[in-house]
Amino acid sequence: MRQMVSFTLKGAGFQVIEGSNGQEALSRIDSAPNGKVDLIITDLNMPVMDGLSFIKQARTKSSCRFTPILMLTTESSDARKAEGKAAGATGWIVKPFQPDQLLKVISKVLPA
Amino acid sequence: MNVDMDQFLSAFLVEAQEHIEVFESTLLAVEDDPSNREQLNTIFRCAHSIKGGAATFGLPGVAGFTHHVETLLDDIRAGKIQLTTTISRLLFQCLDEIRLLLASPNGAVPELSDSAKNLVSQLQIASNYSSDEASSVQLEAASGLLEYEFLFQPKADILARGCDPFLPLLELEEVCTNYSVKADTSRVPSLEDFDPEQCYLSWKGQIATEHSANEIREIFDFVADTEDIDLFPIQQNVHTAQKEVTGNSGGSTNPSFRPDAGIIRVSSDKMDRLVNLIGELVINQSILDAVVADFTPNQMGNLIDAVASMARACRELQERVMSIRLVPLRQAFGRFPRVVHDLSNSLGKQVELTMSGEDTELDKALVEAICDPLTHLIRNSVDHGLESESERVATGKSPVGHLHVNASHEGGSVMLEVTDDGKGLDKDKILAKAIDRGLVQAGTAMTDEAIHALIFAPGFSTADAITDVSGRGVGMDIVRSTIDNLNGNVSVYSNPGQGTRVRIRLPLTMAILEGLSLSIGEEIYVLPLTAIVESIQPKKEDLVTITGDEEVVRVRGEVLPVVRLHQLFNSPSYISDPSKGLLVIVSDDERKVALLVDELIGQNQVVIKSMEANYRKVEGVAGATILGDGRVALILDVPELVRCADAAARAA
Repeated sequence: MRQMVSFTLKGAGFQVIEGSNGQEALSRIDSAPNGKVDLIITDLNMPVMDGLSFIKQARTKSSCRFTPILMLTTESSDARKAEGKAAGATGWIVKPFQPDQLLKVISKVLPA
Repeated sequence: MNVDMDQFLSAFLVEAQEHIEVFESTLLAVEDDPSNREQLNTIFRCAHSIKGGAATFGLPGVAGFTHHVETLLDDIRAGKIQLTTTISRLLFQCLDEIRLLLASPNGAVPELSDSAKNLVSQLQIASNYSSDEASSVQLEAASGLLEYEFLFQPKADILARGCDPFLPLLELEEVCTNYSVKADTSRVPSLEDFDPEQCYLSWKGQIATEHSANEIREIFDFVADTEDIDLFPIQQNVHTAQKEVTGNSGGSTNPSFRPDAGIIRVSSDKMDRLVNLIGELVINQSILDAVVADFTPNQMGNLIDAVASMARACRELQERVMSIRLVPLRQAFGRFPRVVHDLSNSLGKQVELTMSGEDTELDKALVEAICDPLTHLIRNSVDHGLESESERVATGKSPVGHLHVNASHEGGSVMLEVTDDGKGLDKDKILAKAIDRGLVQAGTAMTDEAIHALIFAPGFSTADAITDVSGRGVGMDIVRSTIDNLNGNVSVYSNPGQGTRVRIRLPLTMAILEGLSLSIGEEIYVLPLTAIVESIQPKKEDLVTITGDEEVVRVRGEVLPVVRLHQLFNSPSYISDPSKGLLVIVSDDERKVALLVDELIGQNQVVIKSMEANYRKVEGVAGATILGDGRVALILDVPELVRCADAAARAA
């Protein structure tokens, strides 16, 4: 899944920084060029630090306060969406999805 | 934003067909295991994709109808409604309706047909929806261009979630034909109270769009909770273009609405190889150019090499291109479980269907054409072939009837078999009926195969009672004639008490034929290789003339009628004495005849060109082809030649 997302993003001209869990992602964001990123895409189900905790943590960072965050979820239930919104997620993509669906959702949260 | 949607429509139709098939097979599986949530999700996704696609590609009828199906499925998925047999039957009916809508121009008309309305009301009863809500949904989904007034009032804290409230507004502008919006700044506080991280703005506007309210709401999904966006339909305004569609729908069927509209999906693998081959051809051509440019006789060897490699590439290209037309039979087989399921339920029989060889590939046109005859054979087997449960138990069989459908390659053709373990054909009854109908003279001695073949005679049925399933006696003759048209043949094997097997043999493809070319006088003819049994030079003593002028030849104790092709086609020939020429013995799988020809030329592949399309039907001729030297040769139609020989014999 991560490869697919990463591949799609690179294909669309994004520069991609990857981490295998929330903890790793947080430290990678700090070491990114300029110390910030334009967009965060995270799965919910991850080892060490899961997606929701990661989103909450990221929102406490000054560099990520207003960064759009997309969460990948298998469930499209309202409860899950509300949970994500409460944690600070900007939007979501329901798995499974096609690469062009991903890009479409990104266009919904990231100004062109 | 005016994109020509037609080009995507046919692709959508193919996709919708696939969704329907998945829907159907999953629904069948869910019946056995209703608790499987993943399968319920799959079904829901199928319905959702069909609805979404249909709405996008201008099929509001399909979208509106599927919406109701989706609603019910959502409730089932959420566990609010149990998937009972009644409901799954209803869903099957809806599936058929969606198929129908996709295939007919009605799908593009917002108003639902009576049958669809009936199903919708059943769906609503099933999902216990208040009729108010349901009808308003129907209104939204079913009409053309709708005007809305909207009020978008995001929560103040959305900026802290990284949301940009302008993005959905921009997206909205894209999907609307008419769009005007105004920002409401009344809530912006004075500077000392202003918190830059809060959103104080709200937006109000009017839009006109083809999209349903739900789809508009989806645009605001990320930035607004349901209560943050209000959408009021202003008035219903059917776009003029939409009216035109409605006007057309009364006329003849619009060909573009046939599902799959002549589209073939080709794996990129196959395409890659084609591109490779084209590359090879280009290289070959430049080699040829180079050789020809300064050709001297001592370069003959190079020229021959270049031509040979060109020929190799051409041959492979031909094979590859033909293979594009080949699709797995899975497409046709996919619908059989449903057929058996419905039929066995309505007849109260237990039937187990097994299939093998679904991956056997066959020309796409053939796969489509064979689907109906096969379905008919399966229905026949379930209805007539397999006995009722009590009958089966009484004869010591398992109460569950078994039906097997198999496909396999055999030489240059494909064999399809439908086998059941039912009671078999009743020879005496068939014969009695045939005599009764005057198809056979009483007292004629007939082989088992000949009797079995009688079931293909027009208007023949031994069923005592006509059911709505089968027994009207139309059907088997249509099966036969369809298969004949495809250059195939069909035969029945049956053992009383043990079951029946119907075998269909089909050519791999209809466009290319492996043939034997032969000459009669100046003319060249092509015989399909599959029909040829052998060629002989007859001895004078084996040729006999009987009953006046009918010629026969004795071949190893078998007596075969001789057909002089030059007489049949009224063309001059070099040889009129059979003992000096050649006899090609051909068979239509039942009988053999010997064709008198001057000379055999050789075996080659020919491309069939239709006679009917370019001239008219000629008796004994299946088509024409162009030979390597540019001459036109006729392709002989063996079954017809056999019939001609028969008719001549009877006339004599």
